[in-house]
Amino acid sequence: MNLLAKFLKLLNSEASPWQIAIAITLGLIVGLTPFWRLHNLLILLIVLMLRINLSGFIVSVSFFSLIGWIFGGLFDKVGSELLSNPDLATFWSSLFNLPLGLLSQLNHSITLGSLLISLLLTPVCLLLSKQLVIQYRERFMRWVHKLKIMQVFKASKVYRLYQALGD
Amino acid sequence: MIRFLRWQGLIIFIAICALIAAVTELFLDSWISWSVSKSVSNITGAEVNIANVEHSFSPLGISLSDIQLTDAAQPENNSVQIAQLGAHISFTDLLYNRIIIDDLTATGVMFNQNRDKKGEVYRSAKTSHNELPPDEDNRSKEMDAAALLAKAPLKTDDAVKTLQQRFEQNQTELKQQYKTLPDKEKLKQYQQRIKSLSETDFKNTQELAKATAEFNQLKTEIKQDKQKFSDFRNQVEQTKAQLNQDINQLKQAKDQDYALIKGMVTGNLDAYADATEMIFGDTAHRWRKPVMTAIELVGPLLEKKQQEQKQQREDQGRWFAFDGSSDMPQFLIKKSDIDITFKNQRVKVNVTDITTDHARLGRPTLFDATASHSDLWENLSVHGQFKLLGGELDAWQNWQITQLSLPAETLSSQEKLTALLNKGKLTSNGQLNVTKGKLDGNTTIKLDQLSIEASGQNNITNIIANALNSLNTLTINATLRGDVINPDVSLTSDLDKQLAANTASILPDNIKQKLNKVSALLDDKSQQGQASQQQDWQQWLSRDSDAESAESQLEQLLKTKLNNLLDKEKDKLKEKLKNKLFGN
Repeated sequence: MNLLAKFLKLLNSEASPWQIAIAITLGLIVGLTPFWRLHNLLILLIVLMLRINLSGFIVSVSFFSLIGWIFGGLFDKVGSELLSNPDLATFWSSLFNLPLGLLSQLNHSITLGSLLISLLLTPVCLLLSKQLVIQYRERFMRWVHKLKIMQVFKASKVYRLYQALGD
Repeated sequence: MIRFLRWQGLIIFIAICALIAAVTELFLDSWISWSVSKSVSNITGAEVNIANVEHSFSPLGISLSDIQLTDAAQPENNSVQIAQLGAHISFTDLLYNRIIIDDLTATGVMFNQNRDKKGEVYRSAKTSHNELPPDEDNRSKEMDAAALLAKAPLKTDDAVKTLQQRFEQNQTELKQQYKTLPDKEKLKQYQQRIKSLSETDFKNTQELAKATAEFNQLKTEIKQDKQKFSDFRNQVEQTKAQLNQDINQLKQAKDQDYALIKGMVTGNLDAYADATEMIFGDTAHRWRKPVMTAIELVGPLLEKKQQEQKQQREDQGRWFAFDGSSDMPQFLIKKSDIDITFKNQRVKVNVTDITTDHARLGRPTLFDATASHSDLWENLSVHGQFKLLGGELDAWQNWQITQLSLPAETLSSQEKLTALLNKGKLTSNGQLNVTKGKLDGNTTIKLDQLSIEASGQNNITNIIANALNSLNTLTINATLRGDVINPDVSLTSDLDKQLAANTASILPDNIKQKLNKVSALLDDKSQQGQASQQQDWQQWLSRDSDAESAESQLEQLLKTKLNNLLDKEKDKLKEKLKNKLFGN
């Protein structure tokens, strides 16, 4: 609840749309790929060191973890296809004979498949989420506030929490 | 650029990493201890204790101290305990999600040791064999024969009932068929009509044709009636066979009832005849466990781990190897040296290729235990192999134990019978096969140089005690069947037959008289049960005899009269032909 309220507050704040979009995109990579991986440690370091919004990142990780669980079979298939491709065997062999390559655990079908797909989705997600934030603020924020469901929401505990955080 | 940096974020990152490292360092040992205990106790069905777990990151390895596996059948004992277990784990293979242990060492392995505290049992195992039959049922002893018959759930009564019901069903069928049989009058008519046809002098062919048609019609009727007699007689035969079967079952039921009541009166005397199992069962099982540890404990452990891995593989993707180790299983202990301590003697056991994926590895797990001549034995060796294919355990092992000195131990310490083994030598050669998790093995265990001190408290246990006291050698035949984890082991020897004969002869006179009375009453029941059918059955046998006679008469009518009629006409034609040809 608290996290959701913070995220709503973030959307309605003056924070830069790029800042929010980067948080969502990095959350997408962490969310879609298996959690205990080297690249996720690196992303965590980036998120913490750079001024990337943590609420947006955590909400994004939670949301995309669910998506990642649903599409696990697809990631496995993509990863397996690439790892078992004879044309790429030399590349994989040289990569995984490096200590860093082995530590990356990209020889795991789901890790490779999900990381590759999430990297392909990165520019799309970055631009789309930036646009969505802008559009939300420009067009939907007032309209959303007028919706009946929003009125009900405003009377809810989440909204009160959100208000309290805003104060 | 610097305005985008959040220096406190770096501190948080370091703090998170430090927290993960600290939690790992603090709780890893507990987690390993918990998961190993849980996995092993799932297999053994009893409490598993690990006193201490230590890990090291460089080189990567774990060390477990004082591992105790409670014996589910005797929770005050450990079936196996290991003083120290150490393993070096390959870090590189962990990155491939494989656990590869190059070398595992186990020292101070001991079997059948007492526990400080009774262990918990989660799944009951087969209990001790060293139990005498329950005390004699005095109430049964005091009852007279008729009351005993009234009290016991008699199979004789059921057998009588079954016999009567089946006979009644058969009799209904016989009655129906008997009603359809032609009577004597009809048989006479057949004879007269045939006689009439055969004696008629036919003037022309038209009359002959008419008589032939009539004869054929008659023949059809006779055949039909003959078939009825035949069917009736078949039914009598069936009834006879059924009756014989039911009478045999009645006899068996009577014998079983007698055995039951004899057990009630004598206090289950016959149970004493399983003396080999009763006296030497626990000793034999104690010696079996070390010999079969590889198959009975390690095999199922790996089987369980294989199931877990299969589940994980399905859920969690595939790992690819590009260093030429793609055919490496997910779990492998390449070599293990196990040091078993046995009555202050050491037995070295070498096990190679312990894995959950023998299909991938392409070779079975081999185990080999050899001990040279010592004060305790002349020779001791166990060789075998096992493999898990398609989730099923296939294994074999053979063993040779020669002149193993048995320590002094109590064979039976019950009120009615005490037996103490002072000394003895055990020799056993055998082979055991496991196919798809099912055991199949036969072996002989030869006990010699036996010295047993036994004493009994009643006539029966005195006989057993005397037999044990005079025992010098004993050859036990052991059969192993059933599941690997909880096998069915049965032990038999000549001692059983000897004791069965001796204990039966010591029945007191009053018991013998009572049993004779019981036998007579059961005979009465059986005879009364058959008596009601006896009269009816005699009647049916008599009717069967009549039917046989009638069937024979009809057969005769069909053969003889028809032939005579035709022959007569043929002769007439021949005579006419002769007269025309030769003019006589």
